[in-house]
Amino acid sequence: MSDQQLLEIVKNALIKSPWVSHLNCGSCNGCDIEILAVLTPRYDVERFGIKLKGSPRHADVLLCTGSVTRSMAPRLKRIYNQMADPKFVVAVGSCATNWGVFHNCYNTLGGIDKVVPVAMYIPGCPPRPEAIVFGVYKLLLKLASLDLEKQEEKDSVSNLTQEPIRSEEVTT
Amino acid sequence: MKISMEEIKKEVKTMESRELSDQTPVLRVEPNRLLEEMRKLYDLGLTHLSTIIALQVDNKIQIDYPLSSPLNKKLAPAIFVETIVSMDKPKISTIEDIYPSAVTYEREVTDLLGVEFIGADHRDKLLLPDDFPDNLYPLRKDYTGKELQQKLDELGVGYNPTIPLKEEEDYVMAVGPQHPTHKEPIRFKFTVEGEDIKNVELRLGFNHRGIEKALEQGTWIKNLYLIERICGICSSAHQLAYVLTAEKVDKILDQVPDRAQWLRVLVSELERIHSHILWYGVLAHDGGYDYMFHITWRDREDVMDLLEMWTGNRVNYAMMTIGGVRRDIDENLRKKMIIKLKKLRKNISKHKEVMEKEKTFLARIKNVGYLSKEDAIRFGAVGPTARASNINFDLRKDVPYAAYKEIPFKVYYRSEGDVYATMAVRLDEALESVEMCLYVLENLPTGDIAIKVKTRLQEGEAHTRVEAPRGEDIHYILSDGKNAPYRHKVRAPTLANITSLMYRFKNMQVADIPMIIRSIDPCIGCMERVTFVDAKTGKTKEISGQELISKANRRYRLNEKIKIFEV
Ligand code: SF4
Repeated sequence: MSDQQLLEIVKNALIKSPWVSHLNCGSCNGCDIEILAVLTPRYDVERFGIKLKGSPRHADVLLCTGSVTRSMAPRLKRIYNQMADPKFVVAVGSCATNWGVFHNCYNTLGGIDKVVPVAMYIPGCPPRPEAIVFGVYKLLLKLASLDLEKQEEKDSVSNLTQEPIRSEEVTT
Repeated sequence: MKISMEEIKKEVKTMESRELSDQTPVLRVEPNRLLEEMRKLYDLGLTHLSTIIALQVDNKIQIDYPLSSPLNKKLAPAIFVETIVSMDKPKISTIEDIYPSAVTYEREVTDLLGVEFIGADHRDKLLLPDDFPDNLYPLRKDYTGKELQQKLDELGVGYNPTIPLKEEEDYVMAVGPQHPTHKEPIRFKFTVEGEDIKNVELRLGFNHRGIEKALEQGTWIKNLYLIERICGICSSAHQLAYVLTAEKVDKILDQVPDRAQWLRVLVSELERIHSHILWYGVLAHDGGYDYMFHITWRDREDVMDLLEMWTGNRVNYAMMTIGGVRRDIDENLRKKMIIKLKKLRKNISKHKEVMEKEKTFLARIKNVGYLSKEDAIRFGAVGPTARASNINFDLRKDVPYAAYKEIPFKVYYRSEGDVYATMAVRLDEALESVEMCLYVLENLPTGDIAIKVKTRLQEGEAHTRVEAPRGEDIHYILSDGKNAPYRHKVRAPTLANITSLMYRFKNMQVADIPMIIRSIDPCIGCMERVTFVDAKTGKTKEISGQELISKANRRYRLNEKIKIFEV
C-alpha cells in the first residue's frame, strides 16, 4: 500500500469516527455536564461515530473546558503532547474560548489557546448541546477539506489555528 | 438534656461577645484558650464545624469557626467562635484533634492567608500550584487581584511546562466525559496490600481559580454571575446563599416579596432534581450499568427543559438577584410546568423501582463504603451523605430559609450508611422535590417578584447556610459599605464531605474505589490517574480511572482478581 493510500484511510477514519477526550482545565462544570448530555439519548453523538475515550492517547480531538488554571496549564500541555498526530483541540465554552467570567481570578491564565493551539471555539456559557454538536460537525467539515498530502509537510494543527472557525451563529 | 444557646454562652470564657447583622452570636476567645474552649463546645454538642473563615482586618488576622449541632435542634443555627492573631508570623493551635474535618479548612487558610497551625503535621499545599511563591498569600490585602495577577505572570507561575512535577503527583486530569460531574480534578494516592486499601492521600486545587479574591474586585451585582459559576451544577444554591447573605447584611431580608421567596424555592428544587438524577445516573455508569445511565439521563432532559422554559438557560440560570428573583412565571408556563413535572414524577418512580431492586447492581453498592453515624458526625459529613448515615438533619427544615417554612416536605434519612443508602436517600429526595415543586406551583402567592435595592450595601457581616444538592453550602460576607464585599468566603459542600470520604476507604477493596468516590457525589474532577503504593515494597504504580472502573467491573462480573502489582 502506498503512503498516499494510507493517508487517505487515516483521513477517512478521522472524519467518519473521531474519538474525543475531555479535559476540565478549571471550568465551573457547566460545560462538562453539557458535554455529557451530548452523549446521552436525546443528542446522542455516537450516531455520528463520535466516541468519547477516557485516555487522550486514544483520542483525535481534545474537548477542553474552563479557563486554564495555573495548576492545570503544565498538565494540559503534557496531555496535548501525549496525543497522537493529527490532533485537534476544541475549546468548549466562553471561559475556554476567551477567559470569560474568570478574567479577574489570579490563578487562571486565560483561554485554552494561551497554552495549546486551538482548532475550534464554541462560545456560550455553557454552549447548548446542539452548539457543541454543531461545533464538532464544523470541525469535521474542515477536516474533510484538508489536503493530507500537504498536511504532512505543514503542521496540521497550526494550519487550522490560523483561521479558527467559530460556531457562534448557533448560540446567538 | 438538650442544652440551649444561652447556656452555651455562659459556659465559654469570652473576651467579648457581639452579633453579626443576622443576629448570629460571636464569641471571641483568646488565641491561647481556643483549644480548651473548642473542646468544651464540642462536648456540649456543637459537633459540626462548617468551615474556617479567615480574613485580614487592619494588621490582624481574624479567624472564625462557625459551629452548630446536627443532633440538637436548638443548636442548629450556627454560632461563631472567633479569635484574632497578629499579622507577622500568625500562629494558632490546630483543632484537628477535636474536629478532624478542620484539616482541610486549616490547610486552606495556611495556603491563602499564611496562618500557621501549631501542632499539625507537616502539610503540603492543598489549593495553590506547586510553583506558587512561598511567602505570597493571595487573600491578604497586600495586593489587589490585578496586582497579584501581574506579579504571578512576572514570576511565570504556571507558564513553565517543565516544572518538576512531583514523581507521583503529575499527570492528573479530570476523568473522561463520563465523569463530568467534577468540579476540579483531584488526586488520590492509595496505599494497597494486595487488593485491600490501607491508606489514602489527597491533593486538591487543580481547579482553584481564585474566585474569592476576584469577588472583592467586582460589584455586588456583577458578583451574582461569578458566584453561580463556582459550580455549574449547584449554581442556584450558591447564588441563593449569596443573595440571602447580602440581604441580611443590608437588612432588607424581611422586605423581599413572598412570591420571590417561593420562586427561589422552585428553582432550587428543580436544580436538586437535575443534580440528583445526574448523580445516580453516573453511579449506575460507574457500576457498569450503562443502560440505566442512559435511561436516567434521557429523563433528566425533562428537568432541563423545565429550567430552560422558565429561565432561558439550561445551566447557570441567573435567576436570583439581591431583593428578589429575575423572572416571573405566567399562567401558561405554570400549566406546562405542572404537566412536565407529573411526567417526571412517573419517571423518577420508575428509576427508584429499578435501581433499588436490580440485584447485580445492588451487589456493587450494598455494604460498600460504610460510614457509621458517629463517624459521620465526627468527620463533619453534610447533606445526603450524612442523611445516609442516619442523621436526621436538613437545613431546609432545621434552619429554614427562603420559603421553606411554608412548604410541607419530608426529610429522608436511612440507617445503612453505605453507598446504597446514599443512593436511596437521593432517589427519595428527588421524588420529594417534585412534590415540592408541584406544591409551589399550585400555591404560589401573588405579588411582586423583586424590590429595588441600592448598588451599595450597608456595612455589616452575615452568613447563610443553604442545603445545596450535595449538602450544606456556607457563604459569609463582610461589607465595609463600598460597592464590593471586603471579604466573601464560600465553602462548597464537597469539601466538607472529603474527610469522611477518606475514611470510607478503610478496609475496602480496590474494586470498590469508583463507587465509594461516587457516594459523596464529588463535585470535583475525579481521578484520571490513581496512584497505588504497594504497602510491602513501597513500589508505586499509576492506572487511569477508566481502567480502574473496567477492572472493578470485571472483578464483580467475572470474579477476576485485580492485579495492580505483579507478584
Ligand atoms: S463557559 Fe460558563 S458554563 Fe462553561 S465552564 Fe465556563 S463558566 Fe462554566
